[in-house]
Amino acid sequence: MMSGADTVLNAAGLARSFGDVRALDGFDLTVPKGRIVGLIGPNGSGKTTALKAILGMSHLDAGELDVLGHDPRSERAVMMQKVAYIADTGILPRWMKVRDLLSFAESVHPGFDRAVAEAQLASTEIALHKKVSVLSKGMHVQLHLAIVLAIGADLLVLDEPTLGLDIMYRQQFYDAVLNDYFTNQRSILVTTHEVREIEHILTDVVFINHGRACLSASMDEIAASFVKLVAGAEVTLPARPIHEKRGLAGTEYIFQGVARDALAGLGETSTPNLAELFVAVVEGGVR
Amino acid sequence: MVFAGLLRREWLEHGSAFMWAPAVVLAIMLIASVSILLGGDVMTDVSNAERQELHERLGEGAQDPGAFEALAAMTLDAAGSTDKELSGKLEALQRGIAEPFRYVFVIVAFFALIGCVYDERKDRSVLFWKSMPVSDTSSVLSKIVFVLWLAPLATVAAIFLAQFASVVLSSMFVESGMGGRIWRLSGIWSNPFELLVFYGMYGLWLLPFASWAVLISSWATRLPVLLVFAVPIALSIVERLILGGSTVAYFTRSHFATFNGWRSSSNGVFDQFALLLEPTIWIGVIVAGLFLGAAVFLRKRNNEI
Repeated sequence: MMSGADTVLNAAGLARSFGDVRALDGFDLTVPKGRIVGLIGPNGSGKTTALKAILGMSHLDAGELDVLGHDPRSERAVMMQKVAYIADTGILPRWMKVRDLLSFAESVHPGFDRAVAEAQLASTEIALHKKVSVLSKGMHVQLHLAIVLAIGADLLVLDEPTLGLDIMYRQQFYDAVLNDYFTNQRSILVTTHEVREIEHILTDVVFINHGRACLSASMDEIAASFVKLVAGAEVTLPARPIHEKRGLAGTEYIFQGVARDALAGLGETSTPNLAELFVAVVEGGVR
Repeated sequence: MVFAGLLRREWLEHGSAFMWAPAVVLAIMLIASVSILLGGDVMTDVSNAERQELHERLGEGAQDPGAFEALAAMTLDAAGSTDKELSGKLEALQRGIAEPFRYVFVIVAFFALIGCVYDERKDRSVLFWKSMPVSDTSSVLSKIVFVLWLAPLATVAAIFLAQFASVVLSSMFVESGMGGRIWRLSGIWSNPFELLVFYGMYGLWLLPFASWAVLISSWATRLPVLLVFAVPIALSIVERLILGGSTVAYFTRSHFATFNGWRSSSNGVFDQFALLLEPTIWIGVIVAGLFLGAAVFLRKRNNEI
């Protein structure tokens, strides 16, 4: 298991079953410092189970887990001083007033800076005397983000944070996360099944399917080792593609570990996007 | 600091219920103070005919101001009582006043406890609470400490106001010249302290059942209110049928339904502390510890429902 000052999160061999269903089946994950890691997989692939375990919110049947030097299973409270979390659809207590919520965070969180949260809220339409229950979904997420920014954690875990938001809020959300939270000293672990939405901000990606990581790579590594070729039907391929799909413009092939030069002349080459790559990896398997 | 923040959180969530419930009881008592004076131990020596006549006179309301005076005079009979008798009557009156507040407190406390973990799982806010650097142990303890030992302060205040009002009314409507005696014998000024001790002890008495409710709140995925009662009832039946015993039934009953906390006041407030000498209280504390340990364990594992 790799660890050290540059690693924020290390998970190895995580396993968890619900009855006969193996939600996590030897899942591995590493989040280095200063990286934005996307955990990408279909519904039911184990994403949320993995995140809950990483956050110390549920137990595991087996596995090694280290988050900022803590084992989340036994040290969640201490660990959460340095970890922040935003989940899909609002999880803030709906009966609370915004002001009281900030006071609560202030009283229990040593790292919470109320001024930061209030400054952040001042740029929104969220009033301090409002109850959380009257806020729109978008405002709810804005409020949660303001609290997270005021915490200034080393690791931010986002679980489908923009689920159910309209396009404007989605864009604003990721802009704020990038501009106001992210630095090279901080890390983000984000899950979503809307891959396109986060593709451009990720530095690393982990594909998860059936409770296992089926690909872990940086975006640079992906650009270097995967190539998409769109070609007519009558070409002789220099290597076996990991995936092929017939499209209108011809057949799309995805290759792993094949130099672009070798494909030049056969058709148009490009780096596959994450959605294409995910399908290729899950259906074709990585060699 | 963290624990104070957690208690404040509980106050924000449940405080208004614990304030409003006794406030409503107090308002009803004040508005219908007449019926309070007619009920309870103080009336035992008044015949039915006299009671009936008073009802009729009071029914005419404010047009018959003498009715109140007659009532107070008849029920307390200050002039015809020794100091000891009169102070006994006044104490009985004040105890009678306190009881409805206790029932209401237990009901509000029960629903606060049964919902304390269940509700946050239901609305998924448990994920937010767990994202704060607060242990499950602190969270669970803050919930039970708030309900059993902080929330009663509102009830104590309301009871004292009601008792104070009763002394004011008694002294106003008693035979002339007896008002000062009422004040002197009422012992009203020591009531706040006695009430605080009483509710402190009462919390200890309720602790096993309260912890059980928190355990169910952390465990149930539906119908927590039903489960709180169903499990001990089922256990009692099983125990009776298989072992022929009634320990579960007795323990459940004695730590929820009946409470004889108001001891003889001959030694004043020190009798309340005598509860601490009863082994059953400490057995209850141990049982409560096990229940709370299980509740913490379950809150750690369980998230949204």
